Amino acid sequence: MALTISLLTALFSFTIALFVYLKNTRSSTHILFSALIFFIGLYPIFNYLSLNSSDAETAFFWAKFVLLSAIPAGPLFYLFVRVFPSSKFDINKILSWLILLWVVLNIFLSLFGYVFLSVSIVEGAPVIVPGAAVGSFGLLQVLSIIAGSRVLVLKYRRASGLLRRQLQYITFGIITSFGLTAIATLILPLILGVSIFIPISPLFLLIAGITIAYSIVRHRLLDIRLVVARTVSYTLLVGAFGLFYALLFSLFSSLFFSTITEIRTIFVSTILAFIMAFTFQPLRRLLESATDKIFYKGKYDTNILLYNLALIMASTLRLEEVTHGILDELLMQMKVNKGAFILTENDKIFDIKSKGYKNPPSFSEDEVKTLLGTRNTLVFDELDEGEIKETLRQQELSVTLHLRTGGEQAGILILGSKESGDIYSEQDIKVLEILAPEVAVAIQNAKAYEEIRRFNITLQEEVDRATADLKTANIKLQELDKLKDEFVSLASHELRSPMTVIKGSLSTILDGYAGETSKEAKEFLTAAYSENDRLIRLVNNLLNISRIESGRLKFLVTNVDMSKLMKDVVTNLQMATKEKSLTLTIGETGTLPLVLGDEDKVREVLINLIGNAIKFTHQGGITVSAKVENDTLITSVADTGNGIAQEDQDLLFKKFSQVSRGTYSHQTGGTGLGLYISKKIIEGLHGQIWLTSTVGKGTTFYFSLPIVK
Amino acid sequence: MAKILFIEDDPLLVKIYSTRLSADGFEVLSAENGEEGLQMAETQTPALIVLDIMMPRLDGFSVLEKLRASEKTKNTPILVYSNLGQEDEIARAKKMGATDFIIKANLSPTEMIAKIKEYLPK
Repeated sequence: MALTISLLTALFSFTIALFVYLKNTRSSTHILFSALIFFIGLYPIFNYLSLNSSDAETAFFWAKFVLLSAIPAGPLFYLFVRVFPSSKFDINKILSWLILLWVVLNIFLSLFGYVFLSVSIVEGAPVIVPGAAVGSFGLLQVLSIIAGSRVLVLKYRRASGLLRRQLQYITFGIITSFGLTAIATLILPLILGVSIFIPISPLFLLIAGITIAYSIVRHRLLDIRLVVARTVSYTLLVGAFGLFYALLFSLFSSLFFSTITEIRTIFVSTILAFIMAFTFQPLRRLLESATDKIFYKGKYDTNILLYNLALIMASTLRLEEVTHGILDELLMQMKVNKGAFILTENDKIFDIKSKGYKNPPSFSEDEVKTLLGTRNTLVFDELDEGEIKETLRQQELSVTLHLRTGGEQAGILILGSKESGDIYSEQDIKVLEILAPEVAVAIQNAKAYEEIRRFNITLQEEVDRATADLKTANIKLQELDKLKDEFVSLASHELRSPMTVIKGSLSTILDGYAGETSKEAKEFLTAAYSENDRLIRLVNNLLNISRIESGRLKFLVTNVDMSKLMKDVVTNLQMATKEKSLTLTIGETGTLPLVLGDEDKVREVLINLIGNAIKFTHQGGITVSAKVENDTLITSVADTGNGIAQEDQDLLFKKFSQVSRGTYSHQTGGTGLGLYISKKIIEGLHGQIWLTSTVGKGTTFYFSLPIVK
Repeated sequence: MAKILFIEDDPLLVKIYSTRLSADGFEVLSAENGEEGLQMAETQTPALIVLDIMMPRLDGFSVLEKLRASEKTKNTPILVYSNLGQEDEIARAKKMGATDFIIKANLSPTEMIAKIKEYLPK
């Protein structure tokens, strides 16, 4: 068994040595360590060979090789610790040569038998007769170890971050392996007489080898406390179970196995196996949390942290809340003293959200460019000296993490150092890298949301402003409308008053109530009278137009007696027709039913039609008639005038249109509004108005009104 | 002789109408403003009242209201006339008890007289 162990140890050592060397063939740290481990690996082989020699001669022979492998160990250890972790061999040349010389000297002294005079094996234990030069050997080793340890301690005191952790590993490795070796080979045998662990003592060296190798090779180290905690917990776990299983087995076997039966043994074993299987996990968790509490304070549960952060990101779309929520949780759980989100847009900073800073951090253009130019996550301790590291140092940053999603960069998360002074462990960085894309997405979402909100607000403002404008405009328009109406109303009143007096006065004279008037005078007065009437009609038209235009033409609908109305109007207009030597008569109608209409308005229409007829007829006469057709009463005004050409007929009912009558046009006069208004009135009363005409013969206008049921 | 009261502030118009009416055998009374008009209506109990709307101080509507409120003139035919012709005014006058609403400019004195005769109680 001793052979196996020795070979295993040697094999492991050479493997580690080769592995570390290959990792970086040009680094002094790596080279020195590989050499050290190599020689340490040789030691158990030669030791075994020496211990198992058949005679003293062979034993001595192999013992010399033991020495050969031991001599460089000390100095190599010293040099290694001095150089670590640098790749350059920057030790004083003189010192290096001195050490080398001494080593060579010791080698020669050993080979020629001055360090050990002889070695013999008695009952498996070596009996060594030291020589004169044993002091040289011993001194070199002791000095190297002491010097090396001192360097180690000094370095540790001054170290921070990654270096500190690496030294922790080295120290831990060395102490553990040497400690265990000491316990196994010295304390237990000497104090308790237990020598069973001696043969496996070489394995303990491996512990140191492995831990130191790890510290050199890995850039990001597991938290050593985690390693210790886990090791202890697993040891306890295995030990507990082993013990438990053994106890139970012996208990059950003493109870059941009075007569030893195969089946029972199997049965009991199976039961115990089940118990163990079921209790393993809970017990493991219990031990893990217990050891964590003792050894590994300040740890956080990765899953819980990621879950909390995911909750924060899902709970809000506000940029402010997302970034501060994440920073709060992250800084609290990872125990970091400060952190910030640098939010970028097209590679320019547009906002910085920070926590833990006295004054919010600011970055110069160059610093921003440097930071944005890097592609990966940066951890300060892992960087080589250079522009980037300098930037991080200036800003007191330990970690920068790019937040990217969909090819776009949302920003950078920067974190300061941990409160404990520790470096960011593998776990921390993994958490951050899992987090990065989620945060990037959350930030993009928040930004998009902000934009939408801002757009909404702007939109709302625009709409409000437009609405307000419209409201104001509307109010103005309404006021204007009212003013216009009032104006028209007032104007028409003001215009009508004098016209009323003129009308009354002229009428009085013409009717003979003011004494005799000559025929000539009568002629002029009649003209004045009809022109005045025309003015009055014009004013009425204007008033009507105004009301029609503003949609405020209202009808007082009553039952209208058309025959009475016709008679009235015809009587009143007799004078006008007499001037032109025309006749104005009512045709045969019979008894007419009542119609639905506004009496005054219908009167206006009739006056308008008859008035037009008078205007455009110069001989013959005008006939007003009416007849029933279905549910309507159709009233007609027929004249023997010039007629209206087909193409002109369409224009008739339009505003301000007047048919020119050639040489007669100067006699017509009129506003061009009459027919338009008439049309509006009739149609407003649910009737229709139209005409028929033959050029040269005459025109007939018709309008219909609904009969009262 | 039937008495006809004109409550009208334009004296010329009054003259025009009264010339006619007197010739036809009516007694024409006139008041220049609302208050005078009301007084006259009370004391003289005319058979018909012709009431102008646009008058200073007390306007036609108020007079109409008062006339209709008083026992003596509750049922007297009242012809409201004016050169304002908006439908709302016409409707208002009718609602307040006017017998008819006439637009001054539209009726010649002869037509006016005919109207008066029409509404005079027989």
